[in-house]
Amino acid sequence: MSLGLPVHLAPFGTARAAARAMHTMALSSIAIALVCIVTLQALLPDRILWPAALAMVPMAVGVIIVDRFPSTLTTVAYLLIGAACVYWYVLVGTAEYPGADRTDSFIIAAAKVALILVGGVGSGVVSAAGWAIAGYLLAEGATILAASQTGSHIAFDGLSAATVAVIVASSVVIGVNRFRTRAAKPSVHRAARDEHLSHVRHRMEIKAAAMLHDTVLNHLAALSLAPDGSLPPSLRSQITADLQLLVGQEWLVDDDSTPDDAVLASWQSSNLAAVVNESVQRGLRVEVSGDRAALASVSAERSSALALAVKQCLVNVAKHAGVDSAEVVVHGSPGELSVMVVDAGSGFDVTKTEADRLGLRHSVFTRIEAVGGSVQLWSSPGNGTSVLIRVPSQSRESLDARSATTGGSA
Amino acid sequence: MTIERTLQQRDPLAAIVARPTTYLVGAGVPLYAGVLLWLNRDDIDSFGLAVGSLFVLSLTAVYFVYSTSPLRAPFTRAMFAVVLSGGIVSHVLAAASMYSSNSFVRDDWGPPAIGLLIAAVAAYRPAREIALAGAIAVVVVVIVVAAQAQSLETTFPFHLVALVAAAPVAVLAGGAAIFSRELDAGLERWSNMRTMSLSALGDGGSEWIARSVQQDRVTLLNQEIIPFFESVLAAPQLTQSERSRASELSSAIRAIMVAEIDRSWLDALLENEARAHGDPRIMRRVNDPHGLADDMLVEQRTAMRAFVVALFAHPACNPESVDMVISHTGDHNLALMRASVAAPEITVRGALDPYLAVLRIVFPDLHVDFEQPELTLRFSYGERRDRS
Repeated sequence: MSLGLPVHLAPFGTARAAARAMHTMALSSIAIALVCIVTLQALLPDRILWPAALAMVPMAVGVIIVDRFPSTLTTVAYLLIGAACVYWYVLVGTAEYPGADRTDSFIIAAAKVALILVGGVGSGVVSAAGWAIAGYLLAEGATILAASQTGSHIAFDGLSAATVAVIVASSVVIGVNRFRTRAAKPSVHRAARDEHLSHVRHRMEIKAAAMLHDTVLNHLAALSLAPDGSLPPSLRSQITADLQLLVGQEWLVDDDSTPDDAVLASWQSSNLAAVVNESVQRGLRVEVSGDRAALASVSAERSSALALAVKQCLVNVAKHAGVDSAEVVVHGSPGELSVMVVDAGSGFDVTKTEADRLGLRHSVFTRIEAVGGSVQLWSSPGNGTSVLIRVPSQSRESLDARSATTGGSA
Repeated sequence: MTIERTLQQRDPLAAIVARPTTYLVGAGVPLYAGVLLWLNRDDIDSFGLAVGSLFVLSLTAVYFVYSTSPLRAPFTRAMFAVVLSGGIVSHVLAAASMYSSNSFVRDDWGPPAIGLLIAAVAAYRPAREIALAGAIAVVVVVIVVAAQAQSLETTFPFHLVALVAAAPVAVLAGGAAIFSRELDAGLERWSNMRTMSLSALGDGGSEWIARSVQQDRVTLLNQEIIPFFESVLAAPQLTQSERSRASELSSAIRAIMVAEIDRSWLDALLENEARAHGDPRIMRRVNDPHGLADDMLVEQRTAMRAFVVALFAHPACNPESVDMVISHTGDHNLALMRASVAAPEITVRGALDPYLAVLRIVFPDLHVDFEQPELTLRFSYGERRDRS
């Protein structure tokens, strides 16, 4: 749903659309008048009606100019030139065509309506109604002047009067009614902005929750299970490093500008490699296979999310699977990078177990979904566990960016 | 939720602004038809058919005004078809009432009436549909003229007579189609600009949001967690008390994190607004045990946000009374929102109608009840998203 134009732009947008519509209707009226004159000329070859058709040409050109270059100057010029054209049109028509002996005939009204539908510049009630009234007065004035010269009957033209009445009435009611949404529009736009910021904040909170789970909660869990005595050196160094990270560094702000070519240039300097190495240091045997070069195809944010999700999967293998080995398979395909973590451990019933509610849910599922990826989990008791993590890669991001600029709306 | 390219659905508030023109057409077209019928009464062969045509037109106009209400949005293709059909039928009946006596097509009220009805639909249906409706109406008008050809007092060729008869429909429908298209194009341009600016706001703003979130977490950790870790690192040995303390802290922080995860955007919204308007109680205002609020789409959340802010801002709204229940049934979610607003319905509606109009677009089955002072909203949305 688009939220529509903001309050300060809405009148201009509506006025522009209304002007375009009126110019279209004016050109239609001129075309109808032309067809009538040409047809009558063909029917009455002894009458000289074609000069009346010529008067419609400057009017048509004038409508197009007012439409393309809306300004007070072009609008006034169109009204004055149009009035002259209507005068000429009525003069020739009433003089040469016996059927046009009244100024309210359809043929004459079609030309006058084209002048009333001037669709002049401006966005307010006064300008919209004012231009229409000016067009009506000039058209009627020109008609009366011409008719008086040819002796035609000057009659009240209901069609022209109805046209200007509809324009004036519509402009007034719309102008008066605008106040009803004057307060609501900015509120709706503010709500959209707040929703967007809320979404961004929520993403950050997910990342923060996952980070705290991976660091603080894991360390607290390790401490609660550690034996009496000295702190294991690996745990001590991890706690120290994570404290320095949490307190001293900006661990939520990502450099999201690339695919991070400098870091991912080689496997050994990749985030995923660091995670695998860390798991190996904890005593887990990890076999990595597949297209490691594909890791270079994702952005820094996705690379980081992927690595941390895989880290949680490997932590789960070490904690729950009852085995000391796992396999990590990397696969790149057009638009997507997938990583699968497989173990041949004890497995679990995914339908019954609320498997580490924060662990799988936030460190894996929600974290990956937050960067536009997806996770699938297969496991059953006694048959091991497989976790397939997919994230969009740079080639798909380019496609998505192109499609966003060529179509669709908010 | 499919949003069509109409002003009503893409800018509900602008459609509210345009609503009075619907009343104008609804009242003016039958009046216009009645006046012309009276002025041309000498041409009428069958008064029954003439009255019938006016009756059908009046019914059509009433239906048009009723179906374009913001609280019955959106005005659908089917509704448009009913309006168009009503206009066409009334014109055919009027022409039949003057079958052998209609001298001039120019004073027939049918084509202008149909044209005005189509023009009034400009804010509610896409340009293509309006153009198609105009084309259909033109064909019908031409057929009617052809049927009346014998009675017409004219020496003009048929094509000119048909042109004169069909001109009001063609011109008005064409203008309405252009108006609808131009509005849509303007909304599209603005929407693209807004998307880019929101992205910039998010991208550029995400750093300060990240720092804000990080600062909140570090503040939480500094209370007990970090001092605990520092004491463990400094101590020569790990003891049972420290193990117990680690377990306690783990449970506590886990509970805080779970509570934060379970707190939806809707919880936060109602809580913040209530607090801002004098109700500082920290309590669950949204009964949503399954986290169904997250199933709302971005547009639905935006509309909900705008409405909730407006509701709490109403001077007669009791902030303590606002609550919401969301449940799941079948394949969609049901929401019930209640609030106490001690003011006459006309003032409540006047203040909240624009927001209700926006809500109605994104929740098409929105039902609003107001029995002073109880305001109740009921609506459904979305399919349950799998969160396994």
